[in-house]
Amino acid sequence: MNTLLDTRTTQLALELTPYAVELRHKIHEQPELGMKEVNTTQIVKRELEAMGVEILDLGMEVGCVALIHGTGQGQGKVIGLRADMDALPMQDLCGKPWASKVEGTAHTCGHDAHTAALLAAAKGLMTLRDSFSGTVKLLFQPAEETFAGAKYMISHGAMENPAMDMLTALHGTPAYHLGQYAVASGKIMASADEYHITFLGKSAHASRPVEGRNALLAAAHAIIALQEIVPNEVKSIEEAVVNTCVLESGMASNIVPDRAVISGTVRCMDPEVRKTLEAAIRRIAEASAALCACGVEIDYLHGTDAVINDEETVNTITAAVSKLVGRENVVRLKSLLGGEDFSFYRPYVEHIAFYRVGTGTPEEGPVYQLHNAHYDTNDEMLAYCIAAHIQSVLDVNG
Amino acid sequence: MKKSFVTDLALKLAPYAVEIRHRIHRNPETAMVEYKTTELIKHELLQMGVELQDIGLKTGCVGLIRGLKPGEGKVLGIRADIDALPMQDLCGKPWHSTVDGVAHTCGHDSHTAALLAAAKGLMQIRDQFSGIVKLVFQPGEEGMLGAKVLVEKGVMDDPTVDMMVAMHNTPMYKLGQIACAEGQIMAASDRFLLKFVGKSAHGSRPSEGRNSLLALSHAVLGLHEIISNEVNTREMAVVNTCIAEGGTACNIVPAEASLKGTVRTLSPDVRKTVEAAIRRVAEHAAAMCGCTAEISYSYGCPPVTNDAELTELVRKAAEKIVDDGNYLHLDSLLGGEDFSVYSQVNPKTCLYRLGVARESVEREPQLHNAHFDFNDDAMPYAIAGHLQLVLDING
Repeated sequence: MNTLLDTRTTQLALELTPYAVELRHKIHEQPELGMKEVNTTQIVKRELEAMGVEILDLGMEVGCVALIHGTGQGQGKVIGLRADMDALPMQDLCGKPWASKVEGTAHTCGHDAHTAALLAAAKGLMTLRDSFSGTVKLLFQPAEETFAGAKYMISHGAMENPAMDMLTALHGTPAYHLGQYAVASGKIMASADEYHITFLGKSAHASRPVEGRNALLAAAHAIIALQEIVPNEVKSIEEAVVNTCVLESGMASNIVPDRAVISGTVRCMDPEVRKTLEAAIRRIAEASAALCACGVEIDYLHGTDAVINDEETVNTITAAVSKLVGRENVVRLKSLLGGEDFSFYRPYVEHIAFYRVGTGTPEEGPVYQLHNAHYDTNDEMLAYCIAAHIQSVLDVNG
Repeated sequence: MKKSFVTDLALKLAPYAVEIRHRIHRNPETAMVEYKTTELIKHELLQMGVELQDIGLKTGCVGLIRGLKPGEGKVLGIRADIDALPMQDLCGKPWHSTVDGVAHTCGHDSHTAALLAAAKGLMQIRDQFSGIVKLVFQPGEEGMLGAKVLVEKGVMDDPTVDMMVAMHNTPMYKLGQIACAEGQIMAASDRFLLKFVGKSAHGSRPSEGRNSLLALSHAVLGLHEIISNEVNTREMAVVNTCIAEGGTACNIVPAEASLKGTVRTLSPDVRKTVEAAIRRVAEHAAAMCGCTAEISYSYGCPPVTNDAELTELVRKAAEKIVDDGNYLHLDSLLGGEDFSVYSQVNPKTCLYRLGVARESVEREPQLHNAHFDFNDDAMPYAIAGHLQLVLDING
C-alpha cells in the first residue's frame, strides 16, 4: 500500500526510484560475499563519480566512503548514512528476471536495495546541496553478514575526517508492511557470537566401531543438548537463541569419522544472558565429547554487541519519516535477535540509530523472510529508503 | 607344518612365489587398473604352459589346468584377488611400493603369487588329478566390482565351475594357522544416504525455519541405538554413521543436511530388520523436527557364506598341512568381500583364512594398515593349501 504523502522529498524520491531500481537489479544479478564486493564497489564508485560526489581514498579494497558538502547557510552537522553491500552464500530462488547469476550467492538479505537507495539518495542530495549545510558522509560498508565490514571501515579511518555527529542506517524487512517505518530506542538487536566446536574421536573401519571413537556421535549429542539451553537455562522473559547451523564430518562411508565440526550462532539482548549462554555451550561441548570418549576443541568467538539506539536520534528519525508517511505509519520497532555489526560504530558516534523499512506485501502472496532463498526485497520500498535518507539530512541540516 | 609330498612341493615352490610377490608389491595397482599385474600373471602362466581363457577382461585373467588322471573330476575354481589399495606403503621393506599412494596393504600380492606357484606345482603333477582347475585372478576386490565383472563375463561357465575356493591372509591368526567355518563368515555391506530437508531462515529466528541438522542429530543417535535395541544380542551387526554435512553459514538455519553411513549384517533377517529400522528412525527424526527425510538405501555385496560340505573339504586339506591344533574355527567378521558374488551363481563356495601374524596377534599391523606387509614365511602354507585341495577333490 502506498503511504507516501505528497511532499517535496517524496516527489524527489519517486523521481529517483527508477534509477535505484535499475541499480538494485544490477547488483542483485551479481551478488558478492562479504569482503569480496569488488564489482559492487566499482558500481558504487562509478555512480558516485558520475554524480560528482567526493570519494575519500581510505585504501579500502571493498566498500567506499564519500562526502557531500551542503552549500546552505549555517554550520551544519556531519551526518553519516550507512548502507551494507554484501550478499549471502545461498541459492537464489526468487525466480525474478534479475535473479542471481552467481551460483550459490544471493541477495536474500536485501543489501542490494540498501546500496541502491543510498546511491539514489546521494544523487538527490547533490541536487539539493543548497538546501542543507554541513556534510553528509556516505558509508558503503562491505561484509555486514560476516560482521567483518564495520571493523574494516573503522580500521581504515571511516570514523574520522570528518567525525560524525550522527549516524543512521536503515534495513528493509518483510516483518513490517511496505509503507511503514519501524523505529525504537534502546536495545533493538542482539549480540551475536559464534561457536565452532571440533569433536575429536578416533578413526577405524566402520565395520569395527569398537576400534574407533565416532566424533559424529558426540556432535549429534551436542547439537541436541545445545538446543535445550535456552528453554532450560534462560529466563523466559529474555530473548535468546542458540542455533547450530553447520556440521561437517567424515570422509568415507566405511570409515568411522575421527572429527566432527559444528558451528552455530548465539544471540541475546542482555550481557548477563550472554555470559550464561557461553558457559552452557562450553559445558555441553565438553560433556558431549566426554560422553562419547572423544576430545573437544571449543572456539567461541565474540561477535557483535547489541545494537542500542540513542533516543535523540530515534526522535529525529521518527519526526523525519512521519513527514513522509504520517505518524500512523511509523510503528514501534520490535527488538530482534539478528546481529548487526552496526553496533561497532557506536563508540565512535554519540548519536546513532538503526531503523527498519517495511517491505512486506502479504496481500500479494507468501511473505518470505530475510535469508530465505525465495526472498527478494521489493522495488517499491526503494522510494521509502531514499526519502528517509534525504528527509533526515534536511531535518538536521536544512 | 606337517611333512608330506604336498608340503615338500610347496616349500620348493615358495622361493618362486616370494620373488613374484615382491615384484607385485613394488608395482601395486588399484582396483580395475591392474594392467601390469595382469601382464605379469599371463606371462608366468604362459611360461608354465597353462591354457589362458580369453573371456574379454581388461584386467585379471582366467587360466585352465586340465588334470591327466583318468576319471570324471570336478571343475574347481580357485580365486586370487590381485588389486592394491589407494594408500601409502609404510612397510619399510626393500620391496616397498614404488608407486606413490598405492600399496599392497591387504596382501593380495601374496594371493596372486601363491596361486601362480600352485599353478606351477599343479602343472608338474597333472597326472595325479582329474577334472579341471580354473585359476581365477580377480581384479577389483577392494572396490567390490571385480567379481561382478568376472561373473558377467562368464567366469563361472564353460567349463561350469562345480565349486570355488579362495584363500585370504590375515594377521588376526598366527603364522602356521588356517581358519575356516561354514555359514556367514563375512558381512553384507550396505550403505545409506539420508537427506533431511527443513527450511532455511536467519539463524537468529529459528521459529521461521526448520533446522535440518537437528533432525540429523536425532537420527544419528537413533541409528546408533538400532543394534542394541532391535537386534538379537547373539547376532553380529553394525550400523555406523560416517559422513555428515549440512549448512553453509553460521547465521543461516540449514535447510538441508545429509548423512551417510554403513550397515553390516551377517543374517538376511537382521539385514531386513536393520534396513526397516533405519528408514523408520530417519522418517521419525525428520518428523520430530518438522523436516522431511529422503532415504536412499543401497545394497552392497551379500554376506560371504561358506558351503558346509566344501568347508569340510577345506578343513580336511588344511589339517594335512598345519600342525595339529592349528586349524581353527574362523570368527565371523563384519568386513565385506565380493567373493559372495560367485556364491550367487553357485553356492558351493568357501573362503578360508591363512594366518600370518609373527608373534602376538595384538601387536601385528592389521590389514589396510599402512605398515602391513605379508609374512613370506606363510607362503608355503598358502601354496600347499591350494595343492592339497586339488588333490583331495580330484586326486
